[in-house]
Amino acid sequence: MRNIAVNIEQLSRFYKSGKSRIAALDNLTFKIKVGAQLALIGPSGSGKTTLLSLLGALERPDSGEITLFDINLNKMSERQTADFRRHNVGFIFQDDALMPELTVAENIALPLILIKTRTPEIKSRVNKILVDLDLENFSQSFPPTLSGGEKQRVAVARAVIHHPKLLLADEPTANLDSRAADLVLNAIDKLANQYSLTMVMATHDPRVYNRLPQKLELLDGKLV
Amino acid sequence: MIFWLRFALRSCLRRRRRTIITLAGISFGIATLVVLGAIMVGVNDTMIKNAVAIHTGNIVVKGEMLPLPQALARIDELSLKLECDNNLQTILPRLHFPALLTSEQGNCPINIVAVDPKRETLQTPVSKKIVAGTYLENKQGLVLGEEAAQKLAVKPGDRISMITPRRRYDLKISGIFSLGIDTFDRSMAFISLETARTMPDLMVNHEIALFIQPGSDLEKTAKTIARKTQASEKVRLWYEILPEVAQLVKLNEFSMAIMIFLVIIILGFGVANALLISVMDRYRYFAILKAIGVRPREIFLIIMAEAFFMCLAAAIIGTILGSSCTLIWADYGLDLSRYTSANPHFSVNAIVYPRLTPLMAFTPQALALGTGILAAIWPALVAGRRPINQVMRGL
Repeated sequence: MRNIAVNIEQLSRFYKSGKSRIAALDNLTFKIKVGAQLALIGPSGSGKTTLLSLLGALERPDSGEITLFDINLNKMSERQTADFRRHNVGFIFQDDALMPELTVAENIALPLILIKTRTPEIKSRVNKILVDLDLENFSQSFPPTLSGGEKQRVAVARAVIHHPKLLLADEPTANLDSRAADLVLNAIDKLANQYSLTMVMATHDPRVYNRLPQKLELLDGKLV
Repeated sequence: MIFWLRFALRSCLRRRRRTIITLAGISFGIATLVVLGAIMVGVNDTMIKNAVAIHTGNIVVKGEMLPLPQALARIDELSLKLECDNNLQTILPRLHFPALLTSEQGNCPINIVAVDPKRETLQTPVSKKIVAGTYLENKQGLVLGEEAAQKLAVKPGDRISMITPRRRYDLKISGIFSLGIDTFDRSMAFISLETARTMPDLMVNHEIALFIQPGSDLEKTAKTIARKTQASEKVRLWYEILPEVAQLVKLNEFSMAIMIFLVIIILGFGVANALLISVMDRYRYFAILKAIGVRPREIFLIIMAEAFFMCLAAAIIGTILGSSCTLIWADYGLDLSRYTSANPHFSVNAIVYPRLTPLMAFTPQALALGTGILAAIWPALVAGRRPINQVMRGL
């Protein structure tokens, strides 16, 4: 199991809609190898976001098992899942999701602060990633002053700064024009390869999923 | 911990409009309480000052009935002993005896008080409330209340008979006073100690009214004085002699405490409401933090710290605002004569000077800070416990 990053066994998640129960994910079983870069594709409502939430320990399944890097998420308390996320998972959301009261540098540093990294180490890592992503001129800017593409690149930097084992991205280019989207995707590619991250990226944009070597397609909560 | 405190402070500063509105509300509430508290203290001060000036002084030493020469010797001796006490501002020796005043038009039972006019003028209001004639000028004559003068149909310059159990004396009316207090205006008259010395066969009660220096400890001073008195003399504090004034002071304090309690409760709901709206506005924001790995306890801490910073800033602003208003107002005073003209406790002086005491200056903000923090617990729990997945779909 050493080379397995994600092991999903008979995973199901249901939502209530009035009196009926809708299966967002229905009895999924699959594995993802360490270092794999996977596109999670499917139309809206197919269960992509639900699966990402479960992989990121943001919610719990109704049945089935999720094991990430040999750690069973089902048995964790809320505090343990928070600690698991802060050490092992990086998130890139559909929009930037940055903290408006923190500067770009502070936003990027946030995951390192959470895992109590020493200040010189934080400064060094943040400076490096700012240079890598061509953001060094914005280090002391606040997010509301940045463009959409710049914000999303900051979000990418924040997602990987602490070298997580798993990077989860939910439609990271959905709100961007093609030029900005390319810059963001290039940044994700660069950093995912640099840090050898296992990555799952939900998208229904062919320009995005065609860049990734593996695909996992969902339809009505089931694997296709 | 320090990071989250800084984070909360930044969050307050970043959301300026919300912070300013919340701050303004709490600050105004605290400033109002500080000013009202200072007015309450001023009202109590004025009531006590009026009461002790008319009646007793802050402390009174009451002696037994003695023949006048002995009583005079005793008050002279005691005054001399007390003059070396630095806590005392004014020492007023007095002699009391009952008498019947008679004129051609009628008679009037009255309490005569023999006083040192020069010293009395410094502290007591009678000399300032003369409505006809003069106040014991050249230490001669008798000053009596307006109602008694009306009953006897006398005016300054008239002669009047003072009948005591042993003798009858003939006195000239020096002046007529009106304190606005029925019992005084009807049944009190003053002569000088010099005049009393000419009546050696009187039996009198002797007393010394004492006014203490501002800020001196009343009870401690009374104990020191008690050590200098004889066994037959009783040292009594103003609130033992005037329990109705002491009760009014307590009643004022109790009313103020109720007002502080109500304002603080309203303020607590205001803080809870403002923070809850702020939390509901930021569900997404907290979900992002949780997704990054921030623990619910840390989210709770952020909200509590935001409440702390806002209430602390409001407490400081409110205190500065309230104290400044009070200090400015304290110079001019607040004339309550329109509302107290029939109230004997304000008959001498109805101008209230708001005064800050440490208790009234710092209780509102300490309570506001504590209540603000307590009021933040619920919004903080809401923020900390909100499941992330409900918000994730909007990210």
